[in-house]
Amino acid sequence: MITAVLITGHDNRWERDSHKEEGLEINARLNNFLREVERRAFVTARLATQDEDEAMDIVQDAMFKLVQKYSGHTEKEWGALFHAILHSRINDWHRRQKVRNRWRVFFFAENKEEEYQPEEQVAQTQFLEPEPQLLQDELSAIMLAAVGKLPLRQQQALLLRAWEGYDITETARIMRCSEGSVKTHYSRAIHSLREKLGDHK
Amino acid sequence: MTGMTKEFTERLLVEAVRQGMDETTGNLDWQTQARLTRMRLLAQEQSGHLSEGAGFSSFSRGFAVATAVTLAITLWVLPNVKDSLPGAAPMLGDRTAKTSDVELDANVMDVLMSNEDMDFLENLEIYEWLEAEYG
Repeated sequence: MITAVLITGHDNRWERDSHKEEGLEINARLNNFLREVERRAFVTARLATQDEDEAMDIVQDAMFKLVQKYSGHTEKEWGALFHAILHSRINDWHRRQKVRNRWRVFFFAENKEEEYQPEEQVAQTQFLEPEPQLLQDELSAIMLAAVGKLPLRQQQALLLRAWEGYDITETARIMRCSEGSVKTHYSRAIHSLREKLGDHK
Repeated sequence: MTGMTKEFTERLLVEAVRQGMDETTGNLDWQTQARLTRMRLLAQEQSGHLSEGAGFSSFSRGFAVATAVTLAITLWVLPNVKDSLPGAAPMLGDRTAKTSDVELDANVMDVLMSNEDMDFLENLEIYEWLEAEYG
């Protein structure tokens, strides 16, 4: 009887310890994963919002959501899940901005011309880069500014496909749209970049 | 230069985008990196709290079920026990409701047990006859 109790106790302890180790292992893997994606996620969000603080908030939301809801999923799924959350948050932010802008236009219609300065936007995207010293740096800065000015969906399709390396199916899942839409957004983005860079040069 | 950009193929554009983004990511300042690290740690800390919370909630759920079952059994069994016990005192909650009943029973018992009243009851027929005869 005592032996059985001891064995049961040992088993329980072993089970608890293994769960603890498993939890620690998941935490370590999550930590590695988030460390790998956090900078890229921040740059993506900053490019989409043109605002550092907003970008931080979006990345934080995405991190919390992934940890809270999807840490139990397999590690392979984390990337797509994280990007799906991130881009969903970016879309939400843009929707909210649209509504805010509508109200702003409604109340301050006379100041509209003063407030909206496309040149300012260009300048804002350019602050993202340090002073370019070399041609390569300059090209990167120009490229980034051009990507920053793309419509949101084109920007997302381009970054997910070209930078993050997702295929069309994965990109469609992350962007929650059809594969056809991804192809359209992507090809428009490429076309637009080609045009803009051509104009710039 | 314009001729060169016209020659930009998709592959080159993609490469340039990748390079630009990688450089930007690599050039993030230390304050931004520090904020990101803090956020990551916070997210993981929250995850730890959640898993502890999940353990607690399963424990508390079990405790709540056990309490509910005990309470239900107690409430179900107790009235029967009370009824089955002879001369058991009424429960505190029932006291107000039962007081008048108890007093009534005591009065009846007093009347029944009193010798004087018993005589009165025994002679009741005679009193009725006397009243009928002589008003």
